[in-house]
Amino acid sequence: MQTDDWLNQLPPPDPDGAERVRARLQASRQAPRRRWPLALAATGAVAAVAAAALLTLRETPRTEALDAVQSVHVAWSADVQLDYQGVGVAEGTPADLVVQWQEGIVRAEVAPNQGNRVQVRTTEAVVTVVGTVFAVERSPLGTTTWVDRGQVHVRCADGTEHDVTPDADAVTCLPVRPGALLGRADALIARDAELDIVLDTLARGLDAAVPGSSTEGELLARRLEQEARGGDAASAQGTATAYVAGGHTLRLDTVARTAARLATQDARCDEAAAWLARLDAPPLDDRLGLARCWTDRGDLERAEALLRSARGAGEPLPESWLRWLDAVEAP
Amino acid sequence: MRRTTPSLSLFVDAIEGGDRELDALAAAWLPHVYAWCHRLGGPALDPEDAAHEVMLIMCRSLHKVHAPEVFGTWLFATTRGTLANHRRKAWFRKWLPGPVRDRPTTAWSPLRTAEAAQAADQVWDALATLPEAQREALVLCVLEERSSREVAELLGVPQGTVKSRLRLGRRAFRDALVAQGLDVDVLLEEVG
Repeated sequence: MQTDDWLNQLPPPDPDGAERVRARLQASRQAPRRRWPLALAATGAVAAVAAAALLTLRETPRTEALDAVQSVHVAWSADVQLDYQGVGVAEGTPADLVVQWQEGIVRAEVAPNQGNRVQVRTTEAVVTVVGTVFAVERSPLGTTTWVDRGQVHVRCADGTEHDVTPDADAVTCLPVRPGALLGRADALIARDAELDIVLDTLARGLDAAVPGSSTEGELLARRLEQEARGGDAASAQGTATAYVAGGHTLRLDTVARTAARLATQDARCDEAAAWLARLDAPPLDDRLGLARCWTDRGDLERAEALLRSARGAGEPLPESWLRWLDAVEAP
Repeated sequence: MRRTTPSLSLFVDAIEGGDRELDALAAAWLPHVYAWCHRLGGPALDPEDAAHEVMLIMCRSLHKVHAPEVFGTWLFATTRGTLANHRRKAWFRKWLPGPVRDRPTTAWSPLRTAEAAQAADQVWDALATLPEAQREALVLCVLEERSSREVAELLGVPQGTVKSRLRLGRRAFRDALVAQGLDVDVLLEEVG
């Protein structure tokens, strides 16, 4: 509800404003209506000149860079209006426009039955329209199309096709490249999206990723985080193993620690020890978790050896563990 | 402040009756129209001029509305069109020689603090970056606290479309605030 709180910062309508308008309205209704023959004639002349100019320009191709942080309005032609906020390129003739859209939102209003064709193209989608009002948003989540009036045809890069109408929900074409799918996964995670949706995106990314590539490594690391978040220790273990098998090292520290923690939670102490052994200097917290795992399993000797080693190195062991060591070592 | 749609019978009475019934219909709808002009027109337009024009159109063209159920939708569409005309005029006026009109100030209470005025300016700017459909959904659903069914009737679109616009509008609005360099969460705490 944060956006709503901000909206409520707007000043309310002037409480006396409506009353003033009412007084003006009554005065206007009592006054005789004015005629504007001259103005009408002038308007007609201007319209005729504009129509002639439009016919001349109708087939002239042109290219226009679209790049705006704030919303900008562009009258591409008399029949095609664009509002955009983001980055792209518009090219074509007044009657046949192609917008190559990279990022942000572009909204097009196309007069129906005038023979105009407008296409918005992104990496994920081609949106084709003849006479409607529609908008396309490209973000890390993909390319989303929604329609205010009329109908548009959306062809997604994954081969699916959709007809979007005002009655239907917006259609989102998902990214297809592994790097873009990684970006979508990060955007979903930042928005606290449902776990299944995040995992589905990561799975698509891994299907498309080149084995051994850094993108695959990043996707596997994200999947491990999410599986751990969902408490799916078995899948997480498989993902961590795949990470190591793929020769990835960039996030080995995090991967090994996460895998070790999950293993200790399931009393798989040997697996946890193997994961920690991959690290040059496993953190004390993780080693204490392993010691707890061993003591719970009754393997006191290994726990004792681990704790002695830490104490010998002058590491700050908690008081409870120091007492435990003293008790074990007492004759 | 929550707004509720006036009774349909006012429209029926105005169609069948005389000036007094038309006045009653105008009186019932004028606060709504004025609020729409104020919130959708933004600080660059004079809401009184726009509302006055909408109500004049209503009085002159009431007979064109074929059913009472669609009167609200028709009036909102008329307001939208009138605001678009006023925006064009405001743009055109900038290029004409002559005295520059002051920014209308009727909506700004003299009692408001400078901080509140600054926050409002930022919200106006952020709201202005939104597509019209999303801006309308935010104003009608959030500021006027209308139900999505009521807004769907006013806009003449399905309820799902209203919800979709509202969701996208909230996100775009938040992004617009952030694009202005605002730390949205922190400032919310300060404002709160």
